[in-house]
Amino acid sequence: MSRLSTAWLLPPAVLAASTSGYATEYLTVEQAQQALFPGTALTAVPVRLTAEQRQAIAQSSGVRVRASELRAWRTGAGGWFIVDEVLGKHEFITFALGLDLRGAVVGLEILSYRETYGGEVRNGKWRGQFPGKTAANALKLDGDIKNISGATLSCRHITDGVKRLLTTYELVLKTFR
Amino acid sequence: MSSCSKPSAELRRCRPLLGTLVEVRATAPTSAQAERALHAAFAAVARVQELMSFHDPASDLSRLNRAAARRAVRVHAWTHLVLRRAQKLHAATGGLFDIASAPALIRGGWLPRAGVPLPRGAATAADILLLSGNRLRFRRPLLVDLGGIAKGFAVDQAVAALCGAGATAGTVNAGGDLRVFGSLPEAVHVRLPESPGSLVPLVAVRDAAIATSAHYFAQRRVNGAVRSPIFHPLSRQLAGETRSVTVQAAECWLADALCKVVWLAGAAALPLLHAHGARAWVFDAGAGPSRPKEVNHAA
Repeated sequence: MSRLSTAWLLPPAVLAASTSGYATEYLTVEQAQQALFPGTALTAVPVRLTAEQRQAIAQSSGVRVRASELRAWRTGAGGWFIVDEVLGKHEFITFALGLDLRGAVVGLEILSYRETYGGEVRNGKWRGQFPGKTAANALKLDGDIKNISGATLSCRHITDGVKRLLTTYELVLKTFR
Repeated sequence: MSSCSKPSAELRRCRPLLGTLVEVRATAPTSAQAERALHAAFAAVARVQELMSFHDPASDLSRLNRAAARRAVRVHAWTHLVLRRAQKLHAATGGLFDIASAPALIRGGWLPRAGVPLPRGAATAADILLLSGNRLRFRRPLLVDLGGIAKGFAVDQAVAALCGAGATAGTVNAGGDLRVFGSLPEAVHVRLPESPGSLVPLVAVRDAAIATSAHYFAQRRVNGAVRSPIFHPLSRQLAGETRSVTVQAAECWLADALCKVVWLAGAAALPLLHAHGARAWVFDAGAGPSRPKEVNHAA
């Protein structure tokens, strides 16, 4: 059964409803580990930042440090895999950063993306007219939103998050026993 | 899943590139092939970023902005192609689509100072001389910004990379400028300009690109008034409307660029849309909830 064909069963009103939440999972932590360090065994290394270290990282990077616990793993070769999250005004993004033994970025993967707006669903009269106007027959459920045009969010928060983690490497992880 | 069930794998990844989040989906006969296709697609986007970023002093674009008013500068074939397309569109729109609008965006705070004096006067994209051997020269001091076309071009290159790597279907979405290919239609949602958390289905497309210009996340106060980073090169004003324009076209660079044209020209852009086999929708946030209006002769 095609996913598209199920849409035919739904009344037009449902098809045309708007939604105010959106979330996508891209990779699990394990999948991201394999993407950044293929075929490499990683060992979880709990890293707890002291209040002093957090302050030093914030000062040096110019980015606020919210968490004192670092979700970090190490490769046998001395590289690091860190899972972190950034909070924007409306978005909540989990990402993984891979660093080699010298602290250079191996890669970055977004694990999940979630938008957090309030209940802003509005009911425009036009929605009743919508299906006839465009190829609404082929539209999928709102729960299956895959393509958003106009999601022009900046990735500044991620850039800040990476800056904070690179500073964390310099000040803490580089000399980690 | 498809009713004719050939074995296939779909992978979906997202990375920060082009100053936004770029999402790529790839379907291929095996997951290893899908993985390779994703890799090729992200590499293509990263390449476009290296070449056409206004923010990166080492990009082709920055080299042009620094030197092309004084001497011919050789650039990558992709950069040359984008500038050629932009100049053609500048001519076809009577100057409305103008990649030489960077000074207005710098003054408004959307773009950083480029390290060169802001050109005074009315130099336009027509002052770019396209020379052989992927070289370019500016007739007058000029600051080019490819923000209205390069993101779409990156999406096209990423789609080409996906296809070249054997993907049978896929989507590339660079911060809202997207292109889909494959056998099934894909629904595309847009945000309501006055309430960007609300997503509404707009259209379903197959093998097409959709781009949206909307600035709910980018509006700024310029001289006391809320403005969007869309500059009218003829009236020399920044746009002030809370508006969203969506364009569907065969290729994403074109959808991306036509958004700006439709924003500024409205229904007057119809002949151009028709000439390119494109369609457009305008959402204006007014008194009540906005509704999508397709640009047509009735508008």
